[in-house]
Amino acid sequence: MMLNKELMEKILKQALQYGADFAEIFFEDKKANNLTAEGGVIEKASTGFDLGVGIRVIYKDKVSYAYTDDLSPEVLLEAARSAGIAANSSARDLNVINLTRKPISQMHPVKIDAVNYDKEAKVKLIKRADRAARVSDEIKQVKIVFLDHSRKIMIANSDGLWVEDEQSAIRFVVQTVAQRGDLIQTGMASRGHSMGMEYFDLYSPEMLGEISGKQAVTMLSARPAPSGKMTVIMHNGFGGVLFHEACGHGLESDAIIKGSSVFAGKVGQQVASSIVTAIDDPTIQNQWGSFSIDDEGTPAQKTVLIEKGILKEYMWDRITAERDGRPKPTSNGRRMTYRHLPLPRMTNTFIDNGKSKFAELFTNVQYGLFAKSMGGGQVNPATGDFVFAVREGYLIENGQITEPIRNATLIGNGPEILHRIEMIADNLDFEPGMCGKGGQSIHAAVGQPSLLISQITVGGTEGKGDK
Amino acid sequence: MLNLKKLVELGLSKGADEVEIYHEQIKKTQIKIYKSEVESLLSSVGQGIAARVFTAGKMGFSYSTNLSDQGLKQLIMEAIESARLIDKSGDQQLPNPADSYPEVHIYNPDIVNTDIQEKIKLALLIEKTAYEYDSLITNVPAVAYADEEAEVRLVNSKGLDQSYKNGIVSASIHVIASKDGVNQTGLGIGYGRHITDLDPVHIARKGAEEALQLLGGKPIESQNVLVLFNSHTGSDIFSAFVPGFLGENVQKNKSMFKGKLNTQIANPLVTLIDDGLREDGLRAAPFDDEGVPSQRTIVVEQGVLKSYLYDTNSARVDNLCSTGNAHRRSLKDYVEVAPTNFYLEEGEHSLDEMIAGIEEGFLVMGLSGVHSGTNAISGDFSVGASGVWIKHGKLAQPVKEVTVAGNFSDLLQDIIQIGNDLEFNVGTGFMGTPSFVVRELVVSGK
Repeated sequence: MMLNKELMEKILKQALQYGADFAEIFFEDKKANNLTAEGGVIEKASTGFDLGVGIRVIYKDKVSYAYTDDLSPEVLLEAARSAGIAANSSARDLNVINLTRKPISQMHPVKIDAVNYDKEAKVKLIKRADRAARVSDEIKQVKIVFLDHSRKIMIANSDGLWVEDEQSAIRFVVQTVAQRGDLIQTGMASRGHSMGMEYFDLYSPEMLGEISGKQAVTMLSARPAPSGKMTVIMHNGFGGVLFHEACGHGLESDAIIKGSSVFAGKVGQQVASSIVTAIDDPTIQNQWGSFSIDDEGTPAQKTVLIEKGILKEYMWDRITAERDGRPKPTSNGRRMTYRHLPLPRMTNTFIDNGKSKFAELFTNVQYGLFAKSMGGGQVNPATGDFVFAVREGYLIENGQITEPIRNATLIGNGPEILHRIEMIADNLDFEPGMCGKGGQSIHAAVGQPSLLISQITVGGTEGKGDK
Repeated sequence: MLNLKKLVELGLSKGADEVEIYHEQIKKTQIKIYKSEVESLLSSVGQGIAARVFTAGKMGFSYSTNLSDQGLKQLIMEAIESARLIDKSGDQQLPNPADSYPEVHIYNPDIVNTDIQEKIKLALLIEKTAYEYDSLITNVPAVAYADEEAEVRLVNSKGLDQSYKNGIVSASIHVIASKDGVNQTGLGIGYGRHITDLDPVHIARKGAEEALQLLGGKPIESQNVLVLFNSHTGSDIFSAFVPGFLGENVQKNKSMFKGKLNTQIANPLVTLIDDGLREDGLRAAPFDDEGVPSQRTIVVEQGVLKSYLYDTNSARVDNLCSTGNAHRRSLKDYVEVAPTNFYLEEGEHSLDEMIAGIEEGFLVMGLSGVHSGTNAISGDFSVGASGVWIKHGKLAQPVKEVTVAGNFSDLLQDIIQIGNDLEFNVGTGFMGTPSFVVRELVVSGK
């Protein structure tokens, strides 16, 4: 149900006729499934369809946008007109628009389509994970969410670009609740990839269930986290949420051109300790935040953000790149649906492997926190101030992991913390996240190897003088 | 005009016992201003349908923005297929139509008649006011105006066919104040039913004042100390724990308030109300998202837990009636139990009076990580905070990079003073509190 060439050329001309510099059509046809089980029984089963077109018009620094879910030619042309007229300048002669469809190289092949896969078979996978999550009688609740989607997109613009892509994703989440007496703790395991049912060759439902169940039970024996500044070792995978939140957002170009990021104007400067290299890369095969083209049609590319501590590059979408006089964006123009304007966003954003071994990180830590699994977090990109929850944490005493601790929060300033990364292991791993910005929630993978931060403020619930 | 009744018929003919169709059409305008220019302008109409079908008391759900005949048929067939997968005990039903529905004034027809230039002017004025407020205001990265006119119609196979219109306008500003190379942000926000409800000067000043008050904040020594939440941060912290009052969470063992009905769970000063009819709340409507008339429910009265909140199906489990708390976060989401407009009742004191009465304490003006740092089941929380230290009844130095931690059960008992400045917090969607004083929490800094 894509749009044909003639209609698209007509829409683009319509959008440009009030004098705009650029016009673009974004078409999306998406199917998404959600299966949710609680207590071993399927509670929710849903399927949704998003079909529509967004039309973006740019005039100088101004963007106007209109969308419609009615794909009849009259309505599309009216949307183009209303977006075009909002550009609010004088009419001009039109150039001829000649769209030529450009094939793209699909970097993230799907072996077994998930979105139309047998739903009963998916239910069986969920039930296997549920059984595995019940690692002890103390597990009181198990919730499993199985999400998949497939999205056909097409972008055509007044520069003559015309590209199409099909993007698929799958995610399986196991949440557990464990209880001992009055104490309740939770566990979570979550993996996501841009692929189909072959996902389960990487992670068995049993493996994900067990990780989640064990985490919840372990945290039952945890004591309240201590407070104060200490050395923190952040584990690989979701530990990368620190970089994503505390630095990644500040490296997105909209914050840069507005000068509202602490990283603005710092290219070429030392912004992290010299062992830190950070990368944004949507080309990693089948990773959660991967794609072949971004939502503006820019081919996916790897961008080194920080190299050996030196700031090299920001993440750009089309508008900000143009405003900055750059030749092209860095394939970071992303949008939640056809109802949303593209924004500069992260894809798979991570700190690269270092040279240390995981065990070496602990050797010289007298007293500290091992943040094995991170919860979510929040950051103020203008200041770099952040806060994160530690989902699964342990005390480190004399180089050894000792007891589990609960309710630890990490708080600090992202740019400062980057300078305090003293050791990086060689075990880079990724985890899926949903990243929110400007009311749009999109897939972004976070990642890092295990790393040692010399000092960070830990906020705990252990009161002063308590034991 | 879509024939929703025909769609209901289609579902029944394909084997469903009960069918519900929810249709929404939303007209939207969003304007962003940057450096005295329009940065972006979005203006659109979108519509979509969500279907719930029940076979043998089991529910399937689907949604679509593809309203072609083929798209609608696909929507119904997927929902029926999904219903067959459910193995949750099959006793779910749709509500019957009510005899009457309350009237709420949530739509000002003039909302659509406002000229776009007037909206742009308002946003420009907000930006200008903030820059002129103080020379330390160095950057205004975002000023936004938005309005939304929604038309909702709900039809089900039990004969319900109701609709309403809802209009909301809002404006917000993010400002940055800078001094000695240090940045501090501030947020100002306002909302209403019509552009004339927005006070651009007030919104700008709120953002600027917040940034200036917090500028130069530093961590303080870790300590247990009295904490004063303002209306904004108070509602932030409450919003994370309100799910504990939902009957469904109690039934599923996911509530810290299970088994506590008619017991003292909070300080006698505390009265908590859920009011779907309160027109200054963002979730006011004549009926909830499955068609049950909206109502006012006292949840906690003078510290005593009086009621949980229910939709039709969770109420049936407890042999009760729905309290009108069925909610759809969006067209794409399941109907779930959620608060409507949930608030802590006002006390007598102004914020300034409360500050004046505090020997030493922490006025919390900004919270971060509220959803990652709170455990709604255990009640534990540890969240990032910024604000101003209070000493001898006066505001002393700004504080940032600290956490505030405790347990929500204790916090409810420890609320010792409540302000008279209740305001709903747009960010949370449903929550409103006045400012209030908590006897003691753990503040971690240096």
